Amino acid sequence: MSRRSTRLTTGPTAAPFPSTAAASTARRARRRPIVVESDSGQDAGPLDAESSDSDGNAAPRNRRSPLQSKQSVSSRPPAQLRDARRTDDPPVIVLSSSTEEEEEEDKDDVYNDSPPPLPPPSRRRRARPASSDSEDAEEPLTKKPRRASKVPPPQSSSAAARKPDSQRRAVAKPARLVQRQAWIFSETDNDDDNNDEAFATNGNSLASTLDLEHFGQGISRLFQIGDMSGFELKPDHAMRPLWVYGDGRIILEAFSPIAEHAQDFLIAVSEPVTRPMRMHEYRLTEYSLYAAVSVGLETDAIIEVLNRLSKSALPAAVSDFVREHTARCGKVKLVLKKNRYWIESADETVLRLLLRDKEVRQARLLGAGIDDDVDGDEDGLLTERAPDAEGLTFPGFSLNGPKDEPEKKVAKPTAAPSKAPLGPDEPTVGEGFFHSEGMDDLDADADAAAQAAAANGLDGIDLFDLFDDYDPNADDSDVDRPAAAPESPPPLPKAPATTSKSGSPAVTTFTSVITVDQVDETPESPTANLYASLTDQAQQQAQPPPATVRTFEIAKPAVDTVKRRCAELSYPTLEEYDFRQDARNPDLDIDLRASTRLRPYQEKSLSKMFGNGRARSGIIVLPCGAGKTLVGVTAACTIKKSCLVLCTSSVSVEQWAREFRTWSTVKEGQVAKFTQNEKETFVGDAGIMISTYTMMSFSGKRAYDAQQILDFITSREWGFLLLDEVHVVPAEMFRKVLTIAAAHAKLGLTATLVREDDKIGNLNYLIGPKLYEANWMDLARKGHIATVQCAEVWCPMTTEFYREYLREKSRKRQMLFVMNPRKLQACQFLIDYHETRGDKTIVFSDNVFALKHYATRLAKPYIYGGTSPAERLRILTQFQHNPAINTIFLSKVGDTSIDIPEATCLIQISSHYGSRRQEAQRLGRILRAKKRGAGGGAGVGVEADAFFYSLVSKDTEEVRYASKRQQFLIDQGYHFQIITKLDGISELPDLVYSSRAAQIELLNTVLVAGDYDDEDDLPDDKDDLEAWRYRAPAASAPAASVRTAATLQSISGGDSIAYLEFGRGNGAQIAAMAGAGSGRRGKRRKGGGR
Amino acid sequence: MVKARKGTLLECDPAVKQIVQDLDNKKSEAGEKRFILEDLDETHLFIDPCEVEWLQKRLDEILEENTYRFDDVA
Repeated sequence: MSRRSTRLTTGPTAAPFPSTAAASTARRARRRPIVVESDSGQDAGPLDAESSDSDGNAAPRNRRSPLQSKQSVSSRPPAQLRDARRTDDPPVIVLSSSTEEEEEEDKDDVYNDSPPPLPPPSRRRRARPASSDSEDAEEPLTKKPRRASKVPPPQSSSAAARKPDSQRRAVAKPARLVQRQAWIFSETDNDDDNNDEAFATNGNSLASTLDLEHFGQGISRLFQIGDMSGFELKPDHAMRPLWVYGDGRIILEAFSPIAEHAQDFLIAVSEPVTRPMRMHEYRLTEYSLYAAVSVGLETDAIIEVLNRLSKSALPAAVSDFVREHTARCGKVKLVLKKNRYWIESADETVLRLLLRDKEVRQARLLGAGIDDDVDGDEDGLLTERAPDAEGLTFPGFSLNGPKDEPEKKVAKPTAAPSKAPLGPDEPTVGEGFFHSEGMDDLDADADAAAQAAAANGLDGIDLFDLFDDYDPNADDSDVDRPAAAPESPPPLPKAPATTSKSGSPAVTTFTSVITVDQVDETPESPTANLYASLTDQAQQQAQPPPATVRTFEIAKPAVDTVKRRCAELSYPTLEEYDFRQDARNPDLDIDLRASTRLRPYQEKSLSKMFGNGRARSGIIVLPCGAGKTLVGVTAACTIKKSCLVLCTSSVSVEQWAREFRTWSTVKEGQVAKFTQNEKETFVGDAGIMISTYTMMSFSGKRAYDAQQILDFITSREWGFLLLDEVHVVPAEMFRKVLTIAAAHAKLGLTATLVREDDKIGNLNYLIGPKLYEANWMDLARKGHIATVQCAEVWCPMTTEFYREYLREKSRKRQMLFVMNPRKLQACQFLIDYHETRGDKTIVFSDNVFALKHYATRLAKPYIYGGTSPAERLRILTQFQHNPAINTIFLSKVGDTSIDIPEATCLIQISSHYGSRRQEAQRLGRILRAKKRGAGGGAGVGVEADAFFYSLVSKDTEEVRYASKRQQFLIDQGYHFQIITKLDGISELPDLVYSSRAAQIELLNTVLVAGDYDDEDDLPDDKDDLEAWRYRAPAASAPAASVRTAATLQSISGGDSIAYLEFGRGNGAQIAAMAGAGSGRRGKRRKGGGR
Repeated sequence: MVKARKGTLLECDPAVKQIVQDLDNKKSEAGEKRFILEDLDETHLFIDPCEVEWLQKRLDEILEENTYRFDDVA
């Protein structure tokens, strides 16, 4: 009994994911007897029991730092690890030590120079019976990335571990390389045969013994659709990084040498589902393919490249899926050119099909204004030259003048010693750039060439060839390599790098293995040859023969009808804006400042947007702190037309205005703000207008001056609509905004494209497809965003608190687990620890009562919705500059709108239930790239720049919410360590609430505290979209009195028309001048329309 | 006079003890017999052996409530 009760107590506290996984594995195992023949069965028994015990009871250990886990895994053979979890299995699992040895032997053999004596076939059959022990047979199954588990899949670690080994040997005996290859493949073939048999048996037993209903649960459902037993592995599958499933899921081996390039491709065609360290999961969806098509990928190219990267032949279902969804998507483009709308398509039949539709036909304009020199045919379709990016320059992309082709530009900016936008003249950050540039050159060329190769249907060039000059140590060597790329002529941007690398033995091995199907390549100098062909391909891509497209014009008022009809005919239109041809809308004379440098991923995202010389509408997803604003500013500077920026709060409006002034050469009068408090218009024909979603979509009666500005916005034609934080805006609001502002190109920016209520699907059609999504881990590795160490700190509830917790209902429960005295202690301890380290700490609490209590008790300043702007500013300035103030407490007003670049440590004590977005946004507060080595604490924690703690009261609902919240970040590759006990907390002098009496007193305070006190705070910023959303539920709460927040000016009637009459003239100008200099004080109204 | 009662010793952590006591209270409120025979200390209870199975089941359920399942999102 005692053992049972122990298990009961540990059960819920065990890390949720591993336990889930283990449970479902067990479930599966129960239905699927696994009997493995054995020579020495008794060895396995005790080991099994032991490892299952540690799995079950010490699940948190699974969340240790990846390095540790990896070691522990690789020390144990993979098969053993898997089977160890199946102890609930009634049939005894006997692990055969001989099998295990054989596996080892096999691995070893693969890289031996001479073919080993194969075991007699009969013995092999016996040794690899039905299911479990054959590693290859189970590969697709075991390769599932387990979400939360930090344990890299066993296969991965072993594969990664043996690679260097192979390289080493290859170096030693290069002469025998060819022979070795030959053997590798014969051996693999052999394996395949065995596997096929194994699979056949496996499949039968699955069908007969498994209750299929249970597949829907946990990870076991992966085994049904994920059963790839019917697929034959390609001979060189070890070099191909993808598993493509019939249902559109794609598993990427992120440890593969070409993973980075595969990843680039996958980002373009599929949605990333989860990206932990070694295994990534992607999913092909309708939307993702729509996005792929919109950035210019072609159906055949997608299928071709997928097929090349896949370990087995591409399932027919997948290629059908791709065909089905790309055939229709992207065929039709709605182009705004010379201010006339054109329907454009490369495929004439599609246009004819559309024209058969009555509504489309009616909307069509015939003859009017068509240039005489273009050919019309019997249908009146016009033929034109297809667009390309020729002559288009991106501001900030290059120092050396215009380049013809965006892909090359991506490689180019390395020419200048890169400067970090955030820390100018910071050499360390500059180095970070060099780290990545080599890869980016490769990416761009690889993309281009892969497409070209696929399009041309060349069998001679394999995608793998593109990566043959990959060097596993590229990150190190890139730094030493002088900025070679910039000096060399465009067609060969990385030639020096290539030659320097080709001598590397590792490269030789890799190349020779992967070029096995290439007869015409000599192993001596593969890189050079391949490189030549590669650049040829790239050049072909760069200067294609002028392609033609067919177009017809449609009437402007009917654009929406046509769009709708096209969507109904399942030919959704892509929107492109040919801004260089747009003569009617006045140009806005802005450019990026000469000092502004874009980072590689920012360039990449922009090149997706402007890939063919026109502006595509779409969404760019970048992590918080990675410079979304700069991407937006650069896009605006590229289009150079009037620009409307919409963001979520008036604070962001200020920020955007500031960023525009910082990064671009925009003139003072050209930036106008339109918020509750500031209603301005820009000077001149074109300008930048910054407003909020709520201002735009407000449906009630507006003030006179607001209406005037809104009319101004509605009457204009906007070249570019920039939508910040698109994920927060409900679809209806978007529709409204989009009808108000007529914009040619739309760009949505966000960090977290997740919503708890899945309303983001609409964005694809409202704004456009997702053009680019950055990999957080990747950026962190390259130093663009901070490396964050995440931890979940478990604080046990005190007995008294837990007793009350069990009695109370939801709302009060939250109060109790937030106010848990042990949590307070943990918070105090962590603050203390990080203050001594020299960190700047932010503590987040959604619960205002807790916020005030914690802050008062620990004597720290706090900011919440009720804090006046002046006070906020004062506290923030103190926090930034005063070395004595290292910690502040923030309510959820700080989630998004407050920018605190100094913060390096974040403690979260209460949060908005299971909101994944909030978690990510909060993390974003500390993601801004930190100056490494600075900040005083360099010596203590070198591994991470920033720390993220989430305090969780054990055994309460909070545990569940916390796990859910972490999902998004885990999918991005972050991992949460679980801290069950803070060492040294009891030694902390003047620890709060250490006595039982004090704890009980606190409990009483909490219980007495009224509902009003723990009410979520409502920031009185009417522009704040978040506040607007939170306000709705709060309205139902009983309110003692009604408070109206307004400026003295508006209460005294200053907003009325009468005031405007007086406000005109010199006074307004003076106010404008005053406002220009001082950010926040400039909030005073500046009169109505000038 | 010495009175002997048959019971099961339940060892648990303080939080689970609170849950068990809460269950006990609810039972008594519902008019049923209490199953805790004696509250021994912070981590030990002496309970009615007849209820052990039921208690285990209930505890499993309650503790499961706080566990986030992977399927919840999917």
